[in-house]
Amino acid sequence: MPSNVGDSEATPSSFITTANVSVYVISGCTQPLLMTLLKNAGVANSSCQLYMLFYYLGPASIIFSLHKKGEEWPAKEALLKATGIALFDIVAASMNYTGAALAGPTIFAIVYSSVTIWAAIFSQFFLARSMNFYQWLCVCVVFLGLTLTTTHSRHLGHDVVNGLILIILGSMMHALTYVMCEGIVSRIQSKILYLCFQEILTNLVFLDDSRRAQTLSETKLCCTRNGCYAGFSFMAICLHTSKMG
Amino acid sequence: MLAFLLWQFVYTLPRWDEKIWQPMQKADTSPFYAVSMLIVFGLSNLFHSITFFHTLRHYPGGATSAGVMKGLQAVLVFVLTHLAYCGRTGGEEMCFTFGKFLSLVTVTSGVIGYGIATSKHEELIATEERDDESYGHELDPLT
Repeated sequence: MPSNVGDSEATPSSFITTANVSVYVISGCTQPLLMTLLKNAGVANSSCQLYMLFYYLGPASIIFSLHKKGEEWPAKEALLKATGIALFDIVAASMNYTGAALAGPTIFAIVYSSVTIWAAIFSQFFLARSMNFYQWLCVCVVFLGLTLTTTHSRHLGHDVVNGLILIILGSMMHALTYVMCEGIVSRIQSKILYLCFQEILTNLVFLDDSRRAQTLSETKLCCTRNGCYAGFSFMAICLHTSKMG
Repeated sequence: MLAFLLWQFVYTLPRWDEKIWQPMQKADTSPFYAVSMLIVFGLSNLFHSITFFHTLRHYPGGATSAGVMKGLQAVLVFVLTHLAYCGRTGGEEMCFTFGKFLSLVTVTSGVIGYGIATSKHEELIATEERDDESYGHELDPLT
């Protein structure tokens, strides 16, 4: 993952670092739990995506602090690249949290923790990285765990299964965001990533379908179906471009 | 955020009554509670994002630490969901089962194991590069 290391910045104390890590872990845990509360409260409609507006409102507010401090804005090219990656991650996050509302926080937590592994796999295709035997062994162990999750979730109903599929695809796409950050920064195969952007955006027809849906269940089905279609289109591009080399 | 804001004006507002207000009434949710939960959801992501970059920059351990944190989050969500929601809200998906526990252990072990394997792999590469550099200095008669 890329990081912006400032050489002149002083190293914070271990207390502050530990506190940051604690807040990071705790805030990561609360999000899927809050999604369940929002769903129970009736405000987590998947076609409206109202919760995603608030989800991004927090981080977006940082931009006002940059303006106030008089700091220079990033270069235009960097902003455009960041915007492209952000749009891609928007789709991933929407799929993840819509899936969390359908499948529940437990299944979300299990599947979402595989993001690291997906990032490693996509690094093979897009960044020409290589993994050793032990890394591949761990990848296989994670896939075994995901298979167990899928197998045990099948009898829990259509909502849970649909949610599970959305979380798997959303996790894959979120992992690809990290790879894209690194790939675009190093300018490796950016054209392939641009093709991915195009394919995903043109396949976001679930929004139109859900408007025509008559019932809530049809809306969910439309979102799930077309979200999966977008995800599968993306996977097809990955496989195709990996063959191109 | 602008994209979602635009979507709210284009899609959600014209259907507010059917998509948001009626489900809220059915769930007996007050507007204050709904707005509070949404704000807390947003703040949670804000803190998560800020602390992510700080952790990435300053917390030692690299890939191992990242894997351990991901695993820890999964375990905590698993436990908290069972304690808070099982039997109170939702269905069976909120409760602890042996199958889910097995899935959790397997996925978490794989993620942490991958982090450890990656750290060791990177250490090995760094050691090999240092050895190559020192060997190169030994061969160069001018250094």
